[in-house]
Amino acid sequence: MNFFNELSLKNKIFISSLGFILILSILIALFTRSLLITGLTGELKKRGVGIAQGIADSSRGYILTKNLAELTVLAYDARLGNRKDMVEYLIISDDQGNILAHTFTTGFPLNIEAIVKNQEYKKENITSIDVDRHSVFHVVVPVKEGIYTIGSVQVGLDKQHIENLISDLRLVFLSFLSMVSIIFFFLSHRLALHITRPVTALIRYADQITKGEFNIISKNDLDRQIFATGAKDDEITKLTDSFVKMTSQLIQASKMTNLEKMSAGIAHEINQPLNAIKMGSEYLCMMKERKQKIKEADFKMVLEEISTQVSRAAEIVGRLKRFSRKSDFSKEVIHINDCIRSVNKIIGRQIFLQNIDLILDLDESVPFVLAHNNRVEQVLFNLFTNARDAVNERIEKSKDIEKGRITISTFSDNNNVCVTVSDNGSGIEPDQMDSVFESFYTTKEMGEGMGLGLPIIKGIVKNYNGTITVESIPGSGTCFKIMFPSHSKENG
Amino acid sequence: MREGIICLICSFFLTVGGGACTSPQQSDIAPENRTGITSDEILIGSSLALGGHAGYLGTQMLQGAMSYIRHINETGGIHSRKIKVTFLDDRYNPAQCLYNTQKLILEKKVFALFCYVGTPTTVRIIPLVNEARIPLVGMFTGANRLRHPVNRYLINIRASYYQETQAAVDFIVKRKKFDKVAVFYQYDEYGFDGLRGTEIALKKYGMIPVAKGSYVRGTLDVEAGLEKIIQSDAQAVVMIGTYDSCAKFINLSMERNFSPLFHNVSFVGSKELARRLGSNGEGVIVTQVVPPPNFNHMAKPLPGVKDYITVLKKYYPDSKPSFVGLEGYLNARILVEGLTRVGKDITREKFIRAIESIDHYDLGIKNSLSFGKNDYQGLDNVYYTMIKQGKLVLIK
Repeated sequence: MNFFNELSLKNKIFISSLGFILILSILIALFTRSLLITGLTGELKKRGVGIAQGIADSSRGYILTKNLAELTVLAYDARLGNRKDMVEYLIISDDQGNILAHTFTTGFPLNIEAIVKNQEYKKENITSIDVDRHSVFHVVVPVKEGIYTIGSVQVGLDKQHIENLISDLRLVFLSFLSMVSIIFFFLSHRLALHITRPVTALIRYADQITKGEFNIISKNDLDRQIFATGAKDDEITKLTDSFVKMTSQLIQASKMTNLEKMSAGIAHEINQPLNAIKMGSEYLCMMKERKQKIKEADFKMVLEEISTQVSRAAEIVGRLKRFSRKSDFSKEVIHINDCIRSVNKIIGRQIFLQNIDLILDLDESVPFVLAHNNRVEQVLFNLFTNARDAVNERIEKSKDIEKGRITISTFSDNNNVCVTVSDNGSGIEPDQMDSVFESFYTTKEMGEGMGLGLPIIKGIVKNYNGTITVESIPGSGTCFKIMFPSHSKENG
Repeated sequence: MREGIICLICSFFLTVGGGACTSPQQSDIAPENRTGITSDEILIGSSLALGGHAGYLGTQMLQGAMSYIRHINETGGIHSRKIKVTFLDDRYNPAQCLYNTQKLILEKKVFALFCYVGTPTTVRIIPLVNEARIPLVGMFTGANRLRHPVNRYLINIRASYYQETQAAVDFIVKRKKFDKVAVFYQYDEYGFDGLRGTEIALKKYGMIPVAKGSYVRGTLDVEAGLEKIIQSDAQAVVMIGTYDSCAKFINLSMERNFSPLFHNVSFVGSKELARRLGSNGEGVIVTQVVPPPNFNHMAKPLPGVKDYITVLKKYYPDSKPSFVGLEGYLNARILVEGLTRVGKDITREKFIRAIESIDHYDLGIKNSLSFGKNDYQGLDNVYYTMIKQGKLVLIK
C-alpha cells in the first residue's frame, strides 16, 4: 500500500483503472467459463441421451435376435467421426445387465461390468462415475419392447470433452480480453494524463506561491499552462480563478496579521500626540474658565504644539495606510535605510516597551536598490518581529536575565547592499536550519504563526534579485542577512 | 516508474497468454505394445469370408497365406517363434467383421491383423485399427479409402483400384488409341472407387467417360446401363463389377453386336468370368495385381509363383493355385519379412518401422515391392491378362 501511496496522482488513476479492468476481465472470464461449463454440460448430456435413444431404437430387433455383430456395429457407429471425442464408450446390455456389445477395443475397464449390472436401467438416468480414471457421465437409456424393458443402452460421455471444447475457446477469449486490456492500458494512460495535467499544474503553482514566486502567477499564464492541450473545463477554470484570488488574499491577510501585531505599539504612538493635544486643549479651556489671560507667546506655543501633534498622528495613520495598502511587484529606486527607519517607527516603540534594545547601525553611504518600499518594509517588519519573538522566547524559556538586543545594520559589499537583522534570541537548532525557508514551516504555536513566513520573505527577496541567508547559534542568537544588488545610475 | 508499470503489465499478459498456450498436448507416440507376442508364439488374427457367397475368396486367400506360414513354422519360425493365426469367418458381412475384429483385438489379444477380404468389411474396422494402433497387413481390396488419407497401420500390399483403372485407361488410350471410353460399375463403395479412378485417369488425357452405366450390388440388372453405353457408341468399357453381372453385361452386348474392348479389374474374379463368358470372352482384358498363378502359359515361370505353387501343393494338395491364393501367399511373405526384420524384441511400432524399411524387395514376380515412411502401398504395378480360349494369358 505504501508503494501505491507514493505514486503520483496520474499513476494512481492509471493503475486503478487498469486494475479495475483487469479484475473485471478476470471476473468476466470466470463467469463465462462457468456459464460455458454449465451450458456445455447440459448440451453434452442432451446429445448423449439423444445418441443413446437412437441406438436403443435401432438395437431393439438385434437384442431380441441376439445379433451381437449388428449390435457391435451400432455401438461403434455411435462413436463415428467427431462423436468419438464425446462418447467415451457405448454399451448395449440385455435385461439381466449382461453386456451384449460394447466399444472397448484396447482393453476392458475393470469395474465396467459391475457398473453396467448395477444400473437402474428401467428408466432413463444420468450418473457421474469414474471409469478407468476417466470421469464420465454415464447415460442409461432403456430399450423397450411394448411396456417391458428388454435391455439398455449405456453411454459414457467424456467430461474431458467439455474441457477440450473450452480450451479451444479459451485462447480466442483470452486474446480478446488481452486486446481489451491493451486498449484500456492506453486509454487509461491517456485519461490519467488528461485528468491530472491541470491538477498537476495547480499543485506546481501552489508550491511556487508558497515559495513566494508570485510574479509568475497571472491568470492568463496559469490558463495557458494548465490548458496546454486546448481542453477547457469549467470546474478547473473556476478553481484557477479562485486560486489566483486566494493568493492575493493570502498576502493581504498576512499583512493584516502584522497590523494586529502592531496595534499595541500604534495605540501607544497615537496616544502620545492625543495626550499632548488633550493637555494643550485642557490648558486652554482651564485658562478660559478662570478668565485668566493667556500670554500671547504661550497661546501660540500651545496651538503650535496641537498642530504638531495632529500632524504626528496623521503621519502614523498615513504610514498604517501605506503599509496595509495592496501593492504590486513594480520596482522603484529606494534607499534601504528609509525602509528600516519606517519600520522602526511602526514597531520600534513596541519593541522598546518590551524591554528590548533595538540598535540601528546604518551606513548612510549604501547605494540605492531597485525594489518596492512597501514590500521591503514587510520583509523587514517580519524579520523584526521574528527577532523580537525569538528574544522573548529565550527570556521566557531560560529565565535569562541578559537583556534582549536586536541589531539592524546596513553596509555595502561588492556592489551589493546588505542588511543584517541579528538578535540574541533563542536561535535555531542546526537540524532545522534547512527547513526554515520551506513552505508552512513554523515553530510557533498554532494561530500565532500568521506572518508572511520565511518562504514568502525569500520569495520577495528573490523577486528583487536578492538573496537571504541565515546563521544561528542555538541559545545565543540568529542573524538573517539580506543582500540586494545595488542600483547605480549607470545601469539604469 | 512508467517502465516498471509497463513491465508489470506485460509480464501479466505473458503469464496469462503463456498459461493459455500450454494446454495439454496429446502425445502421438504410441507406447511400445507387445500384445500377442509370447516366448514361442506370435498371434495373428484374421477375419475373412470362409463361407457364404464370397467364401471362395477367403478360403483361397487363407490357404495361400497359411501354406507359406506353415512352411515358415516348420522351418524354425521367426527367431524361434511360431506364427499362430486365429481366423474367424465373417461371411463377407461388415457387421460380423467388426464384431470379429473387436474379439480378435480385445479377447484373443492378437499382435496384428492379417489378410482381410473385401472393401465394406475392411473399411468398417478402420476405427478399431486406429484406436488399438494395431497393424493390418494385406487386404484383398484396392479401395482408396484404405490408402488415403495415409494410415501407417493399414499396410497395403496389392495395387489399388485407382492404379488398376489407371492402367486400364493407359492401355485403352495409349495402346489402343481409343478416345471413347465408357464406365460400367457396381453401385457401391467398390464401384464408386473404380469410377473415380477411371475418371481421374481419363482426366489426365483430357477426357471424360462418354457414358456411365451401373447396377445394384447383388442384382443382375445390367440392361439399363448397357443401353446407355451402347447409345454412346463407346470403343472401350472399363468394368468395375463382379463376374456374374460383368459376364451378363458382356454376353448381352455380344448378342446385340456391340463389341467394344471390355476391360475388367482384378476383383471381378477372372477365372469365373472366363468360364461364364465362354467364346464371348475372347479378347476381354482383365488387369491383375499379381501374375497369373499358372505355369502352363509361360515359357519360364516366375520364381515367386513357382514357390507359391510348391508350398500350396505341399500343405493343401487338394487346392488349385489362384490369383487370390497367390495374393494371400504374398501377404504372408511380407508379414514374415516384417517380423523377421524386427528382431527378437517385437513390438507393434517396431514392426511398422520394419515394414517401412522394406525397399525394392523382390518377391520373384517381376514387380518390386517398396514401403517407406508415409508409403504403405507395397506393389504399384499391375499385370494385363487377356482371355484366350477360356484361359487368362499374360500380355506384355
